[in-house]
Amino acid sequence: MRRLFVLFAVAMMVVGLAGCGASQSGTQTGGITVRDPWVRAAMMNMAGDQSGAMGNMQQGNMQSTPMAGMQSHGNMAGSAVSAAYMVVVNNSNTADAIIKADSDVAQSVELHNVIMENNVMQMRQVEAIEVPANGQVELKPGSYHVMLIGLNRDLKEGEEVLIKLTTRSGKTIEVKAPVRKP
Amino acid sequence: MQRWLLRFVVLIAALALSGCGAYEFRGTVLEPPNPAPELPLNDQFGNEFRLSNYRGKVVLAFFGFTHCPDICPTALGDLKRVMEKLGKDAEKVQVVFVSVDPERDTPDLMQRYLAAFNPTFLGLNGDRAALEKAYKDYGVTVIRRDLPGSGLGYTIDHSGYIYAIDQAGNWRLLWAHGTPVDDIVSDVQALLRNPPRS
Repeated sequence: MRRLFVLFAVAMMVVGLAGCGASQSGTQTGGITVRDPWVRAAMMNMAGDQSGAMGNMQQGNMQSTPMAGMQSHGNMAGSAVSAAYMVVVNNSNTADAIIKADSDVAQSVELHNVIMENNVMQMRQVEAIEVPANGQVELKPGSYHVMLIGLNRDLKEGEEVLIKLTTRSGKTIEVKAPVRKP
Repeated sequence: MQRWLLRFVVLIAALALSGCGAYEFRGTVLEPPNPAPELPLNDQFGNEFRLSNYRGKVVLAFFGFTHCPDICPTALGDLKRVMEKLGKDAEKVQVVFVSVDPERDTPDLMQRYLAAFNPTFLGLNGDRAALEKAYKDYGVTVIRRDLPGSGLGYTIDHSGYIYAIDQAGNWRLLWAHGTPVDDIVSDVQALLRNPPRS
């Protein structure tokens, strides 16, 4: 009974703390909390009009290429991209990881990392972003980020983007990330 | 009293030294400065671009691509702030973004991508041979990497330097990625203060 009470108290404190960052819309689930999320402002191309983007890029014969054809190649040529950043905190004694991200602002949402070697930037898709027990991982420019590929709409400063993160432990975290200038 | 005098002398000496053009660049200085290789490319508005048309201006060049959502916007964001901090002097500076991904960096995408930073930034693209030569001339690493299973299809590993070309068209400086904005501003101001004779 007493343990339950302590748990309850801790839970309330966490909720209270999370509430402090309400303007940043940090969200918490289980042991994982997210703070200071933001998304880089970006403009999509020609209102998703494939022929527009392709028309500028290629000769006429490419204009008839249907979007489905592009997707089958796994390559959304001419599409706009952006990235989301945040601090993911693990308050539990068990290591966890972000294994998936979703958002309806982009056709494809992936976890990426940037490695810098001899001032050469290399971006790579990663399967998971590890969050150590009682630790945190910072998703920031030049490092881990949630990559938004094929934007469905312009991301303008002041707007909010809803991102759903899935943890290895099976939790879903909803993050409301404000859009900031690039 | 004597200490005050000493301080005064040191101050005058420091002022004199700084006035002598003993400015020390924060970026990597290319010695001796050689003519910057031409960039025979087109900008995002379809206009022909030639470095030689920018004599009298300082040109800041960065090589990147629009499907780079992380490092490239960081560098362009830095350059945007450099231009803001330069104030009126920004008129004497041209920023160019040279594509390392000519296939996907369509004029449309380049326009939208760069407009988010500064409408005066030029996004350069062109035929494969001209671009390959530019990468080689400027020592830019460009490696295409397939990303199986990613919606991106592929990414481009590329160098993250910003290059400075002076008013006489000489390649003078380069800054590593992450160089503080104030350092770049200070170096650009130094280039503008002491235009090369040519």
